[in-house]
Amino acid sequence: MPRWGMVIDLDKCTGCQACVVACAAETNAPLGSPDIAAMGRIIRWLQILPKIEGEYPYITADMMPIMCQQCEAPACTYVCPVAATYRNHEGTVAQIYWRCIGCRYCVNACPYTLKWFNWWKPEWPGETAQATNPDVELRDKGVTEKCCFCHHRLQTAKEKARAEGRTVRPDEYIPACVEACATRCIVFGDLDDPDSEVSRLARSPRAFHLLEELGTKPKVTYLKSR
Amino acid sequence: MPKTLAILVLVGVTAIGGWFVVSAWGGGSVQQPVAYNHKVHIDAGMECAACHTGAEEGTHAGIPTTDKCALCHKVDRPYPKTPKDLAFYLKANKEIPWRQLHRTRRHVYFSHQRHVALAGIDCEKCHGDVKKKTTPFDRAAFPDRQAGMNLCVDCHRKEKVTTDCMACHR
Repeated sequence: MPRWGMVIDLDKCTGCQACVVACAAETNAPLGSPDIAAMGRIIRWLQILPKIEGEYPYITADMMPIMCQQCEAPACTYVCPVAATYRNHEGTVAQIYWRCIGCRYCVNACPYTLKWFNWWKPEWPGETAQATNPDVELRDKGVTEKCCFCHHRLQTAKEKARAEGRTVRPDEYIPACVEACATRCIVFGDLDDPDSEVSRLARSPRAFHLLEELGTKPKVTYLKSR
Repeated sequence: MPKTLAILVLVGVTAIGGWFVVSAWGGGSVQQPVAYNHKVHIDAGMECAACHTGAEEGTHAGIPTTDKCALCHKVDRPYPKTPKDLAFYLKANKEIPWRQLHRTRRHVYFSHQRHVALAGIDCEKCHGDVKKKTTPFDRAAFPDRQAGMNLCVDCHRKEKVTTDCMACHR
């Protein structure tokens, strides 16, 4: 059974945000409005967290793509009273929107603040309403949502592989952000396969995890040499 | 006068309640534009997927278009017999306005390919006596008039396939 994980090489990331756009388009993220943005409640499962050091003009900037860290010990799943969020047998932390009662316990429990609550009825203005991805649910007001490693792509890949009588190839299931990354700084694959690129990179001396001291054991690994 | 009013209210409440019960039960009657007979076609050796294209290779099983019927039914030929209602659409070269009775709810990912082609499940397993039906469908062809989660989960447990929520809920 594969254990899906991701490695993000911050030394390669240019902060172009192609992954952010790809994620939003793939997962039917509502555009939001200036008012919602002013409140800091724009929903983007994948965001770029800028870290700027020094004083202008002598600054260095790190652009860190952050999304659900797909923890092995996910705090969000421990507090969900209705099992709307849980860790499945492949290690992916799922979010079942129609089971969610909107209590927001998980939103508050996530130490990375990477779960999003729909405070308003989401809107897709004009033609964008006709261009939503049919494989991904349109979340309604009052439910929490988050990145699930584009799980719908895994379903499609599994179906195709089974029709052809084989197992899923590593290049068949990749999330939208990985596909869009121009510098190939995001690598995705099976962490339990010692020969996979993601597994090899995750063992790099440059590897670290966000807030690893909390013991959440994220499956998103970052690489940085500085 | 108050007695008449009370009776009217009672009749109204009963009618509305009855309508809700019938709706929930799924017994609502839908009139199809053509009196299609599934049994005749199955007995003639046709496969379900011949008309419901996509059932074996896609997510959705299609509803047949008029040109599918026209492959066999010719207005100017006696066999196979072309019913009058079908002849009307064939002559006019119009699509038959079938009333769609089966719709997957938007939070559910149901793939016909996964069930029909990959798992080899017969259509009757979910759609009941569809192959023996001689009249067109006036209701959804499911054992309990609708396919609830219990229908899916019961079978998944029995066949020992995944019951991971994410496998079916998107």
